[in-house]
Amino acid sequence: MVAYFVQRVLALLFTLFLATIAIFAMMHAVPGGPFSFTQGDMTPAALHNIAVKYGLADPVWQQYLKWIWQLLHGYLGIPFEEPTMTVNHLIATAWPITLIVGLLTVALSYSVGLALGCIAAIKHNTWVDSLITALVSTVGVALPNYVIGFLLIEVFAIKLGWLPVGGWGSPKDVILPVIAFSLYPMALMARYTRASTLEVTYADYVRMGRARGLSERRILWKYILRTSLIPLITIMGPWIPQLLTGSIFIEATFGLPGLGSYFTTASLRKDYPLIMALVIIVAATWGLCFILSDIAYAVVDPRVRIEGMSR
Amino acid sequence: MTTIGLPSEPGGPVGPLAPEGPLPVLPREALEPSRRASGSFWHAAWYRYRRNYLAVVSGVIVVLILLVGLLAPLIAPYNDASIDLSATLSGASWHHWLGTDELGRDTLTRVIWGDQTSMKVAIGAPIIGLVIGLPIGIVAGWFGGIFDWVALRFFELFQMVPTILAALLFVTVFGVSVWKLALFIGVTLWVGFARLARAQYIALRHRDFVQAARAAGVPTWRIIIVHILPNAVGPMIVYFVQQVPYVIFTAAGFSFIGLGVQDPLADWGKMINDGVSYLQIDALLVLVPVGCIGLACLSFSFLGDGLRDALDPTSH
Repeated sequence: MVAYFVQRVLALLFTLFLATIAIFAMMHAVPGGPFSFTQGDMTPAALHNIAVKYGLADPVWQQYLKWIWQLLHGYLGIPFEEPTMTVNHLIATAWPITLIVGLLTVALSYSVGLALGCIAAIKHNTWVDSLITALVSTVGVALPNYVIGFLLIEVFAIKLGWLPVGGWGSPKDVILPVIAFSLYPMALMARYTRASTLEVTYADYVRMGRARGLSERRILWKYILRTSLIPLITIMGPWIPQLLTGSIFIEATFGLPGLGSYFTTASLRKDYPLIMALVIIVAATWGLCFILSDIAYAVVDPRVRIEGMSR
Repeated sequence: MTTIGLPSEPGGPVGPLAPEGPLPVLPREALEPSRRASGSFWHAAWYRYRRNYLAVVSGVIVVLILLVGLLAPLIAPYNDASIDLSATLSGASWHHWLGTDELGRDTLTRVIWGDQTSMKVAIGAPIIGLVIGLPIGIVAGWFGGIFDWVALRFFELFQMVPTILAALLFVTVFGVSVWKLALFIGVTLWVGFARLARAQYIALRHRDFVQAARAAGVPTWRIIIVHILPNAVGPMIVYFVQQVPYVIFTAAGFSFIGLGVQDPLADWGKMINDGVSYLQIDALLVLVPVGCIGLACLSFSFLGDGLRDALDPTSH
């Protein structure tokens, strides 16, 4: 188990390493550096001075080695746009915001989605089931989250005036983004829960349990749900990193100063150190969560054995 | 072939969940041979599609959206670039049904032209994904062995990268235009198409008709393209249409955060970006494009579901 984990993490590190090379090369291969937008009117000599100051005049491979050396020491460089800060500092202020929204989204979407899915499955073929299924496939799955976000803003912030339009500061600011962000994973969760619960509901061993006279409650909790929730780990596991690293669109809709918003500004201004740092963080979070969800799957479901993993 | 997948037919694909109890009552149409779909697969598919009202309505809306995009120069009430500083942020009126933006540009006109831009990307990106993914998937699925192994490793590698992130990086590095946006999003779609094509070819390559064609001495390339490809077309169409809402979402999202199409072009995401500062003055500036994105995503999504049920009845 530990060996398997270590092996997967090493593979992840190797992939990340390759990815950094690719991205670094890509960014430096195209004309137009970070300063060709903001300081466009400067003389070539002045531009060269800036380039030297930020190490952009060195050969690309030297820049890369320097960058990776700093990364190994946990230092992510200085963002070109805000030279008075470090990238580490920017991320330390931005990520908690994204994390708060993300964690609340995970909690809300998974719990409500699970409940809706179970209810739909238990009330299979009734109007409750149809209503939940219809809501899930329209509002949840098909509508983009920022579209829902703007509709929520229009209704609850502008028309009713109950909640702020956007921004970050008071606890109320969290509500609308979390709802808008939750709907899609919630819908997926409900859909999969319904399907996997239904699959079990008519299984022979459940019928057998009924025949033996077990109480409905016991059948539902011990027989049906315990089995039906296992597949959800693999299905919903990969969603966790997506929620933890945030959505650039949701953050733009609600004006949240999280990771996603820095991604946007960094991309607009070709702020290499910031982009590289963000990519590394996002990719590492993704990879790690994938590994953890694979392992969790094997731990929860005794029928699953992962190749190369012994317990 | 005639009986394939009529949904309520006993012994047909009723799904694993059907409880015991009386069999579902067959609709009248299903029992009358004369009204059944006859002949080809496509007849049967059309028959199934037609009965799904939601899918038919969405199909009509999708056609309308595409037509409006194509005919934008003819039906837009104003010139799309005309700035009228005497009528800025006018709100809805007889002259400007959906109001004007901060430069006095007519919102209805912009939405119609935005339709054209959005649809270029929405259709263009999956085409690019298809063009890249299909050959790779075919090679992996048909030849197998080392080709398959390499392709699978590539699938894994590319799936580790969040697609929106990848597209965002491309936009950062290479800049943006309508076609570049389609290209960058399309490039992130290839894995899905390749996986699908691979699965289709693996499922079909040992079927009797392929063996027969081989025995008859048909050249390999001909088997791949003429004999197998038509059988794989159904799921491909379904997958293609299912990608469109995702592309609309992503492309409009990029424009919305300022990384998509640039002035004077407009797509729906760009209109949100422009209108968001005036949200409290005239919400229409945001709600109209938001509504268009929502409507387009919903109708393409239901169209995709309808096509799936019609073309691939056993999959669901």
